[in-house]
Amino acid sequence: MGASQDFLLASREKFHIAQFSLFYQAVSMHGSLSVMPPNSPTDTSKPLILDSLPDPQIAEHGCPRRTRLQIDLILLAIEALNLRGSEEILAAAKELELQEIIPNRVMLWRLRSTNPLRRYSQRRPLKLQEAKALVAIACHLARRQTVTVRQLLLDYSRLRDKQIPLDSHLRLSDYLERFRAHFRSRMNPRRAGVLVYSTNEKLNGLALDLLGQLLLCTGTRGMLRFWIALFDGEVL
Amino acid sequence: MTIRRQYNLPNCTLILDGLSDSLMASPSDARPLMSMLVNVECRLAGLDKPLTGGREFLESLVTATSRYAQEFLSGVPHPGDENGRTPLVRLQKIGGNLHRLTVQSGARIGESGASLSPVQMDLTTVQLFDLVEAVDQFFADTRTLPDMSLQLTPVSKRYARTYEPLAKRAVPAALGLSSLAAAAIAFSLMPVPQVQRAGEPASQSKTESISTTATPSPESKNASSGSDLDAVLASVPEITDPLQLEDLKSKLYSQIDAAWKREPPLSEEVIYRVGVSGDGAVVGYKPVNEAAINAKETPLKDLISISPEGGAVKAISLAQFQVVLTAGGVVQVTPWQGHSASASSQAEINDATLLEELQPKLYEEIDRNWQTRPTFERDLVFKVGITKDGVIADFTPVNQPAADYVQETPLPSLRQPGAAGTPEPLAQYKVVFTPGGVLQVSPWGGLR
Repeated sequence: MGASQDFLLASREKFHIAQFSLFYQAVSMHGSLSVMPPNSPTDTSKPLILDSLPDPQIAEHGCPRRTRLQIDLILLAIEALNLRGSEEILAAAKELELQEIIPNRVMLWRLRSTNPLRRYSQRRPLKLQEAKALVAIACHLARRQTVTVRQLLLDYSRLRDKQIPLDSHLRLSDYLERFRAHFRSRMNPRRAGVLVYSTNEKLNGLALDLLGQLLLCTGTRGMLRFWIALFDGEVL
Repeated sequence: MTIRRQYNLPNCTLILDGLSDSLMASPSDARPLMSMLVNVECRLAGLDKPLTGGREFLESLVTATSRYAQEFLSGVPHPGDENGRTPLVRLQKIGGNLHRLTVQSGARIGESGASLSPVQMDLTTVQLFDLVEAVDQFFADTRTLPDMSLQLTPVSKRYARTYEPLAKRAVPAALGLSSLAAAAIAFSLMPVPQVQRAGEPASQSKTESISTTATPSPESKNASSGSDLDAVLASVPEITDPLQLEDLKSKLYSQIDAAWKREPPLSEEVIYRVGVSGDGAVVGYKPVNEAAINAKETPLKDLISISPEGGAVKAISLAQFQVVLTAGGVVQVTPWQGHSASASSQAEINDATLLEELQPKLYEEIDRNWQTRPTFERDLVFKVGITKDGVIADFTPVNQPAADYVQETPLPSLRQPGAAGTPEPLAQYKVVFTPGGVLQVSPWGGLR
């Protein structure tokens, strides 16, 4: 594909992660997005990957409720896809040089627990920078799972067309089962937002929606699209 | 020189034919810049003929695809075209994992020129992704139509608000609300104050002060359901054990204190009546003062829990607290004074005729004994229970000013506590003292 050759020709040295250079250039070359300059000289060491995500115009400090919820859910879906999911999240933080934001498991847990539906929901704000880090990790891991995600969605369509129950598909039912188990063990069943997923069918529906979202995250502009959509209905 | 750019995905191939207007372009240039579009072709797996068109079709295709991808990710519908025209290309969610692509007749279909009927096709999520990816690869290609770029911005809050009922996330909210309805009813749908000025000539000035001091009551439409209220209140056992109340109070305090962001700071204090179940879960709340009614954000919203059975309020015992969030950022939690066993366990007079008869009596008695000039600046609201003989047996301040300025009212001196001990049924009224000196008395459950 000729298009990608141009990227590589124009690639800049400062990118440590070749995988993501595609993203960044796609964004920066067209100049359609205003990438915010660093707030102060002290954060010059800020990971470059996060610069590709613009700062939305939100009124409050920290991310809105739906943003926090959605980020945690997409990570939950990744964990349901991959048995080693939570280790990989930490490993990805290291690979993407995001250790300053997510140095360890405790911090990861605290950030994800800003999801208001969590059993032990943390009453701390989720900073934009922290949200960006989680999104970068989620998209990084989603890309690795592209083949699996795509195959599961294709199989799901086939099963639905033939009206075959999802249980009969080993891989898919594994994913759905793990997702339900993760969701039920971590979310507060007393919250209205959790209560609507009280049945297996409803949780399966959520898991399949998230699978579709994961697929979109794997695209050329997937990370940016996912990020922007997190703030739909939240900006002024 | 004709240039062809092709973006290949398993289910979608986007082919752009165009020209370069650069004089510098030479055949030796590996990837000359395509600056003019002649023809675009979009081949979708499952569609017999490719979709073709010119620049307008391409613009509509990439816009529709881009917007729909965002809607798919967030669940928030996109406002659509500003000029109100029906776009050539549209994508709509049709349940499950299907996405309906509609292409209007303006686009040429196939080789044979304009098609009269629109083309419609249902894409799976994988097919949708391939379309999005083809579009994104085109956008990312700086050597092809560099004047077209991806514009991504979140949907504005203003717009999303009006569409809230259609948004996917409104469904959980609605379900949550319905299961909370019982709790909400328990939080007394206060009727609009019914002004009674028996035996007094209505003066112009008084009428005015009434209209300005009447409680803005968003629940006024529900006043008719006041009779249900009593039933629900009677069916919920109230927690009265002082030790348990103290425990619940500190639990509630720490929950609210942790949840309240204090950002932006409050301009004035807000007061809520909060119901808490035996295990400390917030089951409902109700704004008490005007500032609370008008407040857009409240930490209580995040704390609301419902029972796993879906709001079986009957099974829950309730403790009620008054919660005050001050402008200075302080949380105050106090037991909801006096809304005690005496009020809920005692039988109530529900006879409409009797209630109507007693109302002017109560008004007169309070009015005659209310001699002081008000120093308070906000309405004092009380719930007052009287016997069938018109004796005030019990009263409860409903809002904070009422608790603070109770001594300015004649209620403490009029109450005959002995009457509350008797098993006699009580008629409950809402009594409001306004800073303008107007007295309002209305049946607590609203007019039947």
